[in-house]
Amino acid sequence: MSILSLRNISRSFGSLKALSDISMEIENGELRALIGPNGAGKTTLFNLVSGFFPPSEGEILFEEHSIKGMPPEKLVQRGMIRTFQVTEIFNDLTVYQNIEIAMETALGLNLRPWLSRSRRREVAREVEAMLETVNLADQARQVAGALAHGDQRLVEIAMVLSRDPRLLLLDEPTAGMGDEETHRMTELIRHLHRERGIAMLFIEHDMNIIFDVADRITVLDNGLLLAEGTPSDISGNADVQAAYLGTEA
Amino acid sequence: MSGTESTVPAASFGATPIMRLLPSLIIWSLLLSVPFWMPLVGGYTALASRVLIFGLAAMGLNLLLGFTGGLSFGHAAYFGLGAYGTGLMLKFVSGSTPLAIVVGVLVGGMAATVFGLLTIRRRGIYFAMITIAVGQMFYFIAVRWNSLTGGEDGLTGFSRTNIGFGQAVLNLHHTITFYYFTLFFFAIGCAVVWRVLHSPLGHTFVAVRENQRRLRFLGLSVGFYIWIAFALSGTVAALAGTLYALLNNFTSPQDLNWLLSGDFVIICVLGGMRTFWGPPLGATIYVVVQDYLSSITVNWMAFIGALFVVVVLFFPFGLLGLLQRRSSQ
Ligand SMILES: Nc1ncnc2c1ncn2[C@@H]1O[C@H](COP(=O)(O)OP(=O)(O)O)[C@@H](O)[C@H]1O
Ligand SMILES: [Mg+2]
Repeated sequence: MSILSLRNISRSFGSLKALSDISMEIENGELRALIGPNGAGKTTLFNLVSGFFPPSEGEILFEEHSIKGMPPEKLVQRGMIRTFQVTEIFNDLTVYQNIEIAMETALGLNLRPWLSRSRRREVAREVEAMLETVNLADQARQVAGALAHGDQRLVEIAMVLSRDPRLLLLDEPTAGMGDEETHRMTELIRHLHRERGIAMLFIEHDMNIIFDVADRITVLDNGLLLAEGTPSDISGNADVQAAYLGTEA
Repeated sequence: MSGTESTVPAASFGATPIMRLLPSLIIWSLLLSVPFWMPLVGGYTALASRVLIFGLAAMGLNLLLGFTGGLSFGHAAYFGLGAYGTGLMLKFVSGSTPLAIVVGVLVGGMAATVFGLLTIRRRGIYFAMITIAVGQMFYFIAVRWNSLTGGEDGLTGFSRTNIGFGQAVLNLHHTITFYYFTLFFFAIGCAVVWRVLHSPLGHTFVAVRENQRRLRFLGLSVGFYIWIAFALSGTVAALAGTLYALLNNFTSPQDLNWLLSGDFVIICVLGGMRTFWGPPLGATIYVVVQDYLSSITVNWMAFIGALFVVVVLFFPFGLLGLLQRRSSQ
């Protein structure tokens, strides 16, 4: 069963056609890379899927149900969540507080002015488990906005994971990271995919990572879907090489 | 607010070591012993009641302003509605002070709940403008509806009444008794605000202040929580307003005016918007300066203004924010 289907979606900004007639399917538990040069329309595709703004044309299905026009908060409740190209976290709060808020939201506690002791323990347990998952336990008491860029990324991922999504959209999760940080992020993505079976659509520029972890790759160029296939299909595709890899073609 | 500022005292949820309790212990001891030391420093007890009332109003506003990030220039409306609710109740309906307080809180709190709905789709400057507009609407009603409110001259002809407990009587005409009466409600207001701030609800308010986009993309309707914060915040301000009417046995349209709303904002900023005790500290400065300087010059507000400028420029987290940073170094 496919978890996400795009059917002939287009999106224009004035006269600029940021996406034209894109159709694609992502299977349950699939790890899909979305690649393409800057300005290809990758983030725009995320914005449409995550409900940030609606497509000009076309249909989007999440778990076989139309989600057209649904606001982001509804989509998150249904099991789809995203990160942003520029990290969106609570900068002035500690790492712990960031994840605590996400966890309280996931547990539906936001309106509670009071929690029982057992509830408080449950929240604390879950937050600590999440800190372990993303390897931030040592930084728990630090202010999130003061962390290294890569660690801020991990905070954001921990927050979205708290919602226990079935589909995770990651917008350039390793952008601006050093080798060590990139490696940690790649391992985390692989872990979430294998151990939790979360389907992921991730935008990435680093070809090593893409060929390393992706089940399939979708290539966008200038708002058009240029190619789609397994890593070996894509690396052998002449169009892709011409438009994007810019090598021997 | 800047994201790189790493020494910000965020809403202090998390562990509470004994050092966290110490300032509260000192503050409550000082408040409980006011009638004993106030004359020694040249003050008088009613002045302390005034501090508590402004502190409570500002603390209520700060739930919205400092913790949720909603800039309201209309909170005097809910303060004033509390005051008018109480005054009108005492004057026309019943001589019961507790009942008058309940009615005042309900009137102001319900107005905040209803008119808070208008603000939830607005952000930033538009949010602020709606709050002013709504606030001024109540001001003009109070000025115009002469027969009920006494118009520009204000509402007179009521006074707080003693409360009987069987044989015992709480003599509210006695200034010191009234101070403790006010302190009691101040403590209730503090308890409510403290409870909220140290709960998932308060965490959510702070999250609204920090990053609405992320909160939305965690699955929450941001506007709904702004509304809850607005309603709660207005209700606490209304409670302060009821006490103000009882303190003065009088209320006037000035208690609803947006100038007073602005003063509440200044009080929060002076004391420290991101701290629990900041607004009461700001209120102490404001009320004491007003009391002391207004007998010397009519331009006392210029002094507050200058202080405000200094704080905004050099201590963006207020005087208490500054103290906290010092002590955490
Ligand atoms: N909100 C917007 N308003 C106007 N133009 C936009 C908007 N978002 C994206 N675009 C334009 O759409 C094109 C695709 O952008 P984007 O999806 O961000 O590319 P990518 O993420 O692939 O680098 C770019 O030309 C960009 O300027
Ligand atoms: Mg992009």
